[in-house]
Order: sequence, then C-alpha cells, then structure tokens
Amino acid sequence: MSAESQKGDGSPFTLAVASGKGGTGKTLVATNMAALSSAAGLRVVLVDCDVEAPNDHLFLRRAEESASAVDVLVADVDASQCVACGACRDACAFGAIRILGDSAVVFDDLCHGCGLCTDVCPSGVITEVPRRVGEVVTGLTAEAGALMLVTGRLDVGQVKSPSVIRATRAAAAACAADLVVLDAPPGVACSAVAAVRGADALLLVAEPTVFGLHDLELSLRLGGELRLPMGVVVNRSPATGGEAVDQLCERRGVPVLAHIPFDRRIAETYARGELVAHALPDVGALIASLPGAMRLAASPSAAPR
Amino acid sequence: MTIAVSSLGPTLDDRVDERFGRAAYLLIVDEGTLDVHAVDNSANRDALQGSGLGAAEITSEHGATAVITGHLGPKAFSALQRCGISGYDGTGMTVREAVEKQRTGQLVRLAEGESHAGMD
Repeated sequence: MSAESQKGDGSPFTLAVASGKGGTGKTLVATNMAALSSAAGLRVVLVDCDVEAPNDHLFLRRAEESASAVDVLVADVDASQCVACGACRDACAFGAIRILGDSAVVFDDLCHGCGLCTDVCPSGVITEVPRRVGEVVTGLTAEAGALMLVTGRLDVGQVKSPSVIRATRAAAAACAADLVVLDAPPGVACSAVAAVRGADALLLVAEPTVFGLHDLELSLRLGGELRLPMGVVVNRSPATGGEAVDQLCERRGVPVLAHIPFDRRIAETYARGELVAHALPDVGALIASLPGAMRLAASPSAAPR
Repeated sequence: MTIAVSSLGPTLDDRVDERFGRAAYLLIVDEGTLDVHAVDNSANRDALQGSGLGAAEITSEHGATAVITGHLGPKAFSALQRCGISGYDGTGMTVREAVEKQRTGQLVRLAEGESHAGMD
C-alpha cells in the first residue's frame, strides 16, 4: 500500500492543493482527499497552511492535540547603550530601523530577522530576540486509518504568515507518512508560495466563473514558475456551460482530473462541517481518484510540460 | 519652535499634503522666522512599506517638535510619540496658513489613524 503513495526513496508523496481565488473548494478537496486516503490504508498528514483562517480542524476533529509556539527572531536595541550612529539603519534592507531621538528603534513588523544589524552595530548593542507570531497544533484525527492533522495558526494582528507556514510544514515533516496533503491559502503571493514550494505536485481547484478562470490562470503561472507538475479539479461544475476551464487547461497542457458537480447536497454537507467522503460516496469516489492521478501527472514518464 | 509640515510642494504657499509618510515634501519651518528647509520625501513616498517611519525619522532629525499633516498611520504615530512629537490637522490649508494657525493654537491635534499600506 505504501508503494501506492510513497516515492521510490521511501519519502512521502507531497501534494499541494491551491487556487488563486478564495472559496473554490481547496479545503473541501484537501480534507476529503486526506480522509479517503487514510481510510484506504495510507499514513496521511494533512497540513493546514491557510494560517490566517485555518478550517481543516472543523471537518477533521482531533481527540488530543498539542500546540507549540512559532517564534521569529527580530532585532532588539539596548536603547540605554545606543549612540544613534545610524549604521544599522543604513544597513537594513527592509527599512525596519529608524533613528528616533537618541536611539535606533526597531519596528518588529518590518524586521525580517536577517541579523545584519547585529553584525554592523559598532557598539554591539543589538541582539536578536524571539517574538511569537503564531502556533502549530498537531494531533491524530478520529478518521479511519492514520490521519494526522497539522494546523498552522497566525496570531491575530501578526503579518508573518510565511514564517508560520514554514514552521507548520517543518512540524508535518517530522510525522511518518506515505502522503502529505498541503492545504494552501488562496492567492499567488508569499503565503501561497511558502505553502506549495517544494511539493511533488500541485493540484489546482478551479471554479467555472469568470473570476475563477482569471485566478486559475494566475495559479497556472505560479505553478509554472515553481516548476511543479500540475493537475486541475473543477469544482461546482455545471452540467453544461463550464467548458472554459477545460479549454484553458488544454491550451496550457495541464490535465483536468475531475469535475465535482454543482450539487446542493455537497454545499449542505460542507456547511454542516461534515465530509462529503462520508455523506456522498459518489462525490467521494471522484475525490479519491485525485492523489493517484496526480502521482501519474508528476511521474517522470508523464508527458513533457 | 520648529514644525515639520507635509506638503505638496517646496514652498510656504504650497498646500499641506494630507499624507505624512507618502507626502511629496516635508517642510521644516521655523515658526517664528518662517524660514523653510524643504526635504524631498520621494525615497519614503516610493517605499513599499515603512514610509511613515522614514518621515518620522526626518522630522526627528531636524529637531521639529510638531507635525502638521492630514493623517497619521499607526506606525508613524507611535514613532512620533516616542520622540514626544504631536501631529496637527492642516487639511485643506496652505503651509503658511497652517503654520500661522498652529502658532495661534487653532489646529486640532491628530489621533492615531488607520493603516494604509505595507504589511499591515
């Protein structure tokens, strides 16, 4: 069974689920795919990288969980010793240090923790100190098989989502697994990149609306730049009139792997916080086929991209 | 007393720029003599983030004890507060009018505003 999902070297197959547009169904696909793969006998780790609004735990409950803080290093000036020479301010690439009155002042939100200021300070009065920006919550879910859920959570008012996402992925990497599913935040900027970079394949969830089509095009460009093998699943797919997504994917040479129908039962199940994998087996079967199809798309023998 | 005024141009007859960090110029004005030193703020204006901090730094460097502008974001507000500098509302005035009103105590003190740009 692990051969179904592990790569040849025994490391897990890492599948990122993403979309440019919010609300297309990333969480629907990621949670159900993870639960179905676990029920099929794989060791699965689902990683909720949507750290500003993590939801996966609402569908997959954990009996017990443990939380650990995510800290980032930021510069800290000993104002009583600072001579306000400005060397740190001039060296900082992020404009995070200003000379105000008789001391250098660090603005935590802008500090990227590179440590350069600590090197250039002639008085040696700058150190790096940890500041909490979020947490990672880990625990085994009640689903059949072995499904771990690792949730990243950015503290309210904090800005460093990528740091929390990287810490969440690192925590997930410590769990033994055959399949790792990364549930990415929407968009194509820093957070989305931090969530999908280095995955073995990228599954894009598309929606057949003009907005969905526009944002799918952005996601395809992101996946192309990151050189990730891609596949697309169309969600809320109407019986007729949804061809534009398929046509775009054909032009881009990216396979459309499944169409999840536009079906009120799916919306009702999802809105109750339940898995369609349990409530609607026909829909579950569509989603269950996705990891295997993505492995094919990502295999070296797949058609050149 | 020295005042920093965010302005759309380099003279006393230009209008107050309602933006502080992203103002075109910061005019350092001597309230008594009306001597003006114009600081081109383009480096801060074009910065992706932290523009208000840069403008606060210029204000502090020039020894100003008050700022006249239209709006202060949270970072600029806290940076100025650290230096004991208060902001006053000069919306819709020329720099000359605003400085005169400040001298006679007619300007309204600014509270901390909402963030506009950058990582917030």
